[in-house]
Amino acid sequence: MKANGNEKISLWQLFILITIFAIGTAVVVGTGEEAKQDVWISEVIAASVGVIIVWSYFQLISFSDQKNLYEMLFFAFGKILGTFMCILYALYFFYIASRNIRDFGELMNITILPFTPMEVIVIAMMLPVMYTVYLGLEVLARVTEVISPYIIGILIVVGLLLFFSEGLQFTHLLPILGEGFGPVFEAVFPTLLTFPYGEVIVFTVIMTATTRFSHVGKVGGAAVAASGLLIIYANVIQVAALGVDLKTRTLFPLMTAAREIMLMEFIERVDILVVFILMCGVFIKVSVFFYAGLKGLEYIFLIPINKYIIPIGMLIPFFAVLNSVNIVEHFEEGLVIVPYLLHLPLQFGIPVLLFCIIWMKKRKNKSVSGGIAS
Amino acid sequence: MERLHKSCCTGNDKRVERRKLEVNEEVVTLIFFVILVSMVLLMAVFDTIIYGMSFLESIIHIYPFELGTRRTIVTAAAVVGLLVAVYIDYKEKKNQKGQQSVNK
Repeated sequence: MKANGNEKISLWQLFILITIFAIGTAVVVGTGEEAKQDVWISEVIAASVGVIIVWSYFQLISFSDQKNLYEMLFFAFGKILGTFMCILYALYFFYIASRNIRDFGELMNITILPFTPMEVIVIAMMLPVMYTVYLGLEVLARVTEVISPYIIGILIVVGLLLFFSEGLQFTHLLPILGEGFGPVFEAVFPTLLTFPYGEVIVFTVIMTATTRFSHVGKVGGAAVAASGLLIIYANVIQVAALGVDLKTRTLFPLMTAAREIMLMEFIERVDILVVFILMCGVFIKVSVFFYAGLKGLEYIFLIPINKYIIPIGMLIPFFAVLNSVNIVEHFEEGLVIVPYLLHLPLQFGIPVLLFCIIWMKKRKNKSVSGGIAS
Repeated sequence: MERLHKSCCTGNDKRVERRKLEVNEEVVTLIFFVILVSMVLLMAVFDTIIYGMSFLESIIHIYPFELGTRRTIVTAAAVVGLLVAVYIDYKEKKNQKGQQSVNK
């Protein structure tokens, strides 16, 4: 039963939320192609930086006296510019939510529902998201707790089944650093850094709703490290099963890899399990983004988020379909344009600016109060 | 609605509660349009960059305004969202009027 007003989630729930959020689509959608067979090294670097990123977000919140993202924006930029920035972040969260829903729609269209219009799939996916957000953050966290063992378990099982069906050729991972560190860093920046680790910016809205805030930094860091390990595992499976060429050409490499599984002429066509991973991952990710975006609207317009759930929730599938004409444009936009125009400024630029402004404001207040005291 | 309100507040509670006591003007429809227009403009900017077409052209590219296509399905969903927003505003205005007459 929900408490009146303040919703709180435990540290464990935050850990699970961040972990599943980070691995949500990243394990299924192929990223870091620039690094070729060294994609796992890129991922190790990106995950290490990801830990620092999430710890920095925690430090930013701590530094601003436990204000959430929107409160910080208002505090730092004032009423007019602060409102604009809040709307910008809310839009950003809705946009990413619509992109994730589109990912899911495309996968379903390609794999198990080829005759169903993608428009119907994305609307059907949005309905449980809206219902979960309607029930609140605590329910979302509990749902993630229930789902997470299946997602992690299936991911591990797919790897094991590939191994036992002799579908993994670890020679595909060689030569290690054959072209030096250049391609590795090319993959890390900006693609792997912004997706999925930079997306953790959305948790600056949620972190303040954690029961023991002082531990959030460590828990967040551990969650990103755990998700990093799982993403590395998925990347190794993909390269070892498909080889670099096929992995680069496939839109959903983990699913193509899972199709290679054939054990005792009995266990086969387990690619449906990968669809399940993406379905659950997208559900959690979209719910978190949608919730965070609505919180922004609540903060700006001072109307409880429940009133926006249906109107804005019905717009997300609309944006998901209008986003791009086809899947190639969708990936092109997501991997080439969005990281530079949206991810980098909103995930790193503005938080750094926020830190500087809050630091200056605090310093100014201190000197004023010091002057009065003396 | 009351249950919904209770369930959905975390960090901004005090601000929202204070506002509810102060004034109760409803702008859900306006917010709906703000989000819709801003998002279409954002997508148009991306299309302008990708295809190198003019801004107006890219808006037509995003939504060709054709009826009967598969896009009509999501358009219908968005229209449902709009109707719900209008209904929420209408209901709130009605409640507000009722409250005012009780106070008199």
